Amino acid sequence: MSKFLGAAKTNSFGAEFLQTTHLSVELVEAIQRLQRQGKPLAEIIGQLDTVTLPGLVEYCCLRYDQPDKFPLLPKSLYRLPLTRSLLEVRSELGLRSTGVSKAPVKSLSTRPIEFLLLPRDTDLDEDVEWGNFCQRFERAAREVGFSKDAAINMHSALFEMAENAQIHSRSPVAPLVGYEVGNGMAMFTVADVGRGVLASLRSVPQYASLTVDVEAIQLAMRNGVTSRPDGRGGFGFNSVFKALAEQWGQLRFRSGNGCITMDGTHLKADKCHRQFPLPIWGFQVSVCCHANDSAPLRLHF
Amino acid sequence: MIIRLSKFGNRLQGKTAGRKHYAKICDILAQVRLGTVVFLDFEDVESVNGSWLEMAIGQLFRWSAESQNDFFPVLSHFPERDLDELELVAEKNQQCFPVTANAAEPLCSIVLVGPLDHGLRITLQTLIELGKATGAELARHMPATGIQPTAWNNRLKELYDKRLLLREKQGRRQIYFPIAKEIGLHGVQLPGSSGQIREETSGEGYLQNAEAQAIRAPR
Repeated sequence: MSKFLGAAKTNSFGAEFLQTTHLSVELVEAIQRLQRQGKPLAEIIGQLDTVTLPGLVEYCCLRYDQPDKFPLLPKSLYRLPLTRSLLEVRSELGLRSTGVSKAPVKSLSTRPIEFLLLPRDTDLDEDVEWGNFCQRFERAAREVGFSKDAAINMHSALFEMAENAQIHSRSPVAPLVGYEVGNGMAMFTVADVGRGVLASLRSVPQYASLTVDVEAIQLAMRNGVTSRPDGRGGFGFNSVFKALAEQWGQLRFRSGNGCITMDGTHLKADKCHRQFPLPIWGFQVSVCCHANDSAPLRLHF
Repeated sequence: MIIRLSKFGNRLQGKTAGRKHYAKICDILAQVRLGTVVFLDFEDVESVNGSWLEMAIGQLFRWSAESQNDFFPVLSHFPERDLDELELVAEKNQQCFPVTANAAEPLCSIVLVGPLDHGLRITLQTLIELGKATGAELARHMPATGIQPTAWNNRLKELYDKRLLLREKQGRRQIYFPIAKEIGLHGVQLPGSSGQIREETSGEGYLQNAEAQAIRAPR
């Protein structure tokens, strides 16, 4: 269990050292702090042997901006299903940015893990590959015990977060979406390295006075808040909350130096847990739901 | 007139799709006769979310009230699981959406989803009691309120702009009447409550009450 919990410890001298080989979001934050302190990271990264979906994606987002400061993940990790699946995708947000692109998957046969780049020139509602990806996610969730309604809610949440990224992020590279389903659990991550929530909201006069990332994230979570100039929209997060509320969910929003985490028992935007990690470009959303309350309660993030 | 929304797909989600579908619905309605009741039928639609509703339905209701369009949208067979999404959109935009089980005229029973202030509720209830009326007639019918005919007329006009009242012109008079005989507020439609507006008080959601059959359409 310590593998999943013990991301970073502090020794008697106040300096951080790491005892884990598991790349979770907590470890990604700790790695950022260590890098800021000028500590060597190669050894820590080199000893990693497991990853979480959000941890993997957030680390890749970090590396996108500063590839020289954050080491490549070790090849030994590439045997894992998550990393193998990410390797299929050619993206500067993934594990390889050269080589052939992933061939479109036309089949609706379910897969436990999958990544996809959001289309840059096509609306999501018209993109067949994206539509099939969402269908496979929903079907996979149903196969591991989610009810039809719950699977629809998660599909809707995934769609909304992806559409938000496509419309609002202004990401220099296509946003990356990934999901993992299994063992009574379904999780997805949507990540971009664009302008982030704060800059997005500040682009409209109504929210121009915002200065704090975490407050921008909280505000964006409220229904009806949008960076669209005409004020229409802003209901996307409701789909996420519905999935979360009914499915013993966990949620993590990270943007700039703000991070919001919530679980299925605290569903109001003003009752979430606020954190202030070191800054990261863009917006990374991770949502994890359980098919029932007896599903194993691991820390998936 | 019935527009079957399932032709756009059985999952209506996302603002981009909502915006496109709004344009397509407008195209369909471009030639509709003034004063027509238009059923936006969700039969066979599995789910619909707030982003889509805001862009498609919210805008359509605003568009319908423009004098050159002037039709009366009613939502039918709306997916029960997504009534909360409809409520969110209604509250944000201060709109009130009529929802019915049967896409057929004459419209007998509807439930209003969305906020309606006290004055408008009283006006609507009184109008249901009377069947049809002008502002002056409402003032005569309710002298104890002290509300002048002009104020009643303003309320009637506001309900008309929300597409909850129809009207006909007789000489210089505008006579208003409700779009349905029975109207439930916030999802509670009591059987045999013709001439009544009932308000949900439980706060448990629209369809918690077993009597809220008005939206539960036989499919």
